[in-house]
Amino acid sequence: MKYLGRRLVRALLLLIGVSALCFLFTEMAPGSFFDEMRLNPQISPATISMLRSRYGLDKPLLVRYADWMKAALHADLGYSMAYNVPVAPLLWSRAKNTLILATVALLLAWLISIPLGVLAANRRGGLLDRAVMLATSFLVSVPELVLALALLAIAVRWRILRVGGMMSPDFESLSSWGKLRDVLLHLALPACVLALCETAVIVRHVRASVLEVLNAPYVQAARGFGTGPARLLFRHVLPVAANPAISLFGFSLAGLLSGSLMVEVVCGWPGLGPLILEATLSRDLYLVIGGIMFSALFMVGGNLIADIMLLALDPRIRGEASGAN
Amino acid sequence: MSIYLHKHSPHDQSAVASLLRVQGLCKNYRRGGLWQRQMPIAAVCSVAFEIPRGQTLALVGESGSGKSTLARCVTRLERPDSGQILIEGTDIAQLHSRELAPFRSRIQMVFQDAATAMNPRFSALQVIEEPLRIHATGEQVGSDRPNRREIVRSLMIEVGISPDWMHRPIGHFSGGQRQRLALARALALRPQLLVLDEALSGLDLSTQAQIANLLLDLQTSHCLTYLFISHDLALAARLADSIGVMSEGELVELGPTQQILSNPNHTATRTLLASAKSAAANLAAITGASA
Repeated sequence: MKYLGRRLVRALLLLIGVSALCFLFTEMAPGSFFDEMRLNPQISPATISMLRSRYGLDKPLLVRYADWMKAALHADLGYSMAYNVPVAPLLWSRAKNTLILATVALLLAWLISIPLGVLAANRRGGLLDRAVMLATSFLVSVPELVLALALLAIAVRWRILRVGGMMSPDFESLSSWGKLRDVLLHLALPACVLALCETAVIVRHVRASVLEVLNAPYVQAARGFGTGPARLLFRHVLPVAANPAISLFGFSLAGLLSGSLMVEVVCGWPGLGPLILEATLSRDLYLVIGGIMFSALFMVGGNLIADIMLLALDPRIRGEASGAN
Repeated sequence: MSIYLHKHSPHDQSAVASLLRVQGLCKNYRRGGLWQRQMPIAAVCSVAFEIPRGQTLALVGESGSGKSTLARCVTRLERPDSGQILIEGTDIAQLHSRELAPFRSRIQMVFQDAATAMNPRFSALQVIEEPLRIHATGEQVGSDRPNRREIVRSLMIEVGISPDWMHRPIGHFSGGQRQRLALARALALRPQLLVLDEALSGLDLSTQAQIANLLLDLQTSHCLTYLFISHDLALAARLADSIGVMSEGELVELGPTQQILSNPNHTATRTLLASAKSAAANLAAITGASA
C-alpha cells in the first residue's frame, strides 16, 4: 500500500508541475484571446478591459494560478472564452470520445502484438519473424501523420469506412444496432492508425522480452528436464516476459491517450485533439490549460494503472513494497 | 578414436560398461543473417570420448574452446550436426523431442550461474518439484502433491539445505545454497549422468570446496556419472578420474588425471597447467605473507 501511496503522491506532484508550466508558457506566449476584438472598432477598449477583468486576466500570474488551483480542487477548470461555458464539462464530453478511441486502439494493438511477438520470438529468424521485423521497422520509421493520411486516402477511395466525425448525419434515425455499426465504422480509421503505430513498437518489445527469457538459463534448464514447448511457454517464459510488457502497457495506454490528439485532428474524430488545437489557435486560455491537464491526467492515470498491474502480478515488486513498510 | 578411461581398474576394460559414449561429434553455428552470406563456424569438431558408469570425466579448456557447446549437445539442448551420443548404446544425437523424452530424465545439467538457472519467481519447492511434475504420469512416484513434497524434502536434506525453507523464493538463498538447490533439482529425476557446466565457477573458494565435496558424496551414494566442465584444471584434477582438454573445438588431449597432470602433451594443456600453478603460487604467497 505504501508503494501505491508513493506512486499517487508522485502522480499528484507531476500534475501540479504540469499545471505550473502550463500557466507559465501560456503567459509567455504572444497574443491573447482579445487581440481580434481590439482590432474591431465597434468594441470599445473599456468593454475589453471589463471582459479581461471578468476572466481575471488583469491579475498577476501567481494570483491567477492560485485562484485556478483552488477552483481546480473543486473540479472547476475555469471558463472558456470562446464557447462561453465552463471548461470542465466541455472537456469531459470530448475526453469521453478520446477514451473510446484510445481504448479500442489499445485493445487492437495488444491483441495483434502479443501473439505476433511471441510467435516471432519462438521461431527466431523464421519467415514470420523476418516479416514482422521488416514490417515493424517500416511502421516505426513512417510518421503517424503520413500513415494517417495514407489510410485516409485509401478509406475515401474505397468507401468502406466512414471518414470524419463520429456519427453519420442520419444517426438518430438508425436502429440501436445500426448506431453501433455507424460509430464503429467511423472509429475504424483513427483506431487503425493509432493501433498500427503502437503495434510496431509493442511487437518489438514483446519479441525482445520473450527472446530474452527464452535464452535465460532457467528456461534452458526447464527444456533440459524435458518440459514440452507449451508448458515451457506458459509456465516459464510468459509470466516472466510479461513484466516488461506490463510496464509497456501502461506507457502505451498513456501514450495513446495523449498521442491520439494528432490523429484525431487528421481523421476528424471529435475528441480532445481538435478542441485543444482550436483553443490554442484562438488563445482560449483556460480551455488550453484544461485540455493539457486532461492529457496529463490520462498519462498519469495510464502509468498508475500499469503500476497497479505490476504490483498485482509481480511477486518481486510486492516483496519490495512490503519490505519498505 | 576410442579411449577407455578408468580410475580403479585400468586393466579390466571390458568389465566396465560406459554410460556415455560420444563419437565424432560436430556442431557448427551459423553467423550472418538476412543480408550477409551465412558462414558456418565450427564450435565442436569431431570430438570422441566415453565415461564409464560412476566415474567423472572433466573437460577443461579456455573460454570459447567449445566445452559448453559440447555440454549442450550431450544434454540435447542443441542438436549436433553429426556424430553419435550413445547413452548405454542408444544414440540420442538426432532424436526428436518425443523420442528424447525418456532420456531427458537420465541426463541432467547443472548450470554455472544458479541465480539465473532457476526461475526467480519460484520457491525452492516449486523449482525442485517442477521436473517431477513433468515426468509424473499415472502411478509413478511423484504423481501426487504430498508425495512430491516428501521427495523435495529428502532432496533438500541430501544437498544440505533445511527443508523448512522450501517455501522461500529462490532469490532469498545465497549463491552456494542456490547451487545446492540446483543440484537437488538435477537429482529429482534420479538421473544417471550429470553434466556440470562450470557448476562451481561462480562460487567463492570455500563454498566451491563444500560443493565439490557434496558432489563426491552424491556420486558414491547415487552411483552418478559426471561430465564436469570447467576452465579450472586444479578443480578438475580434484574431482575427475580422467581429463580431456579442449582447444578451438577439438579434444586435443585425453587421459587419466595423473597422466595429464604429470605428462602434458599439448600446448593448451601446458598453458592450463601453468595458470593453475601460478594461481596456487599466488595463494601460497598470500597465505605466507599473512602468516
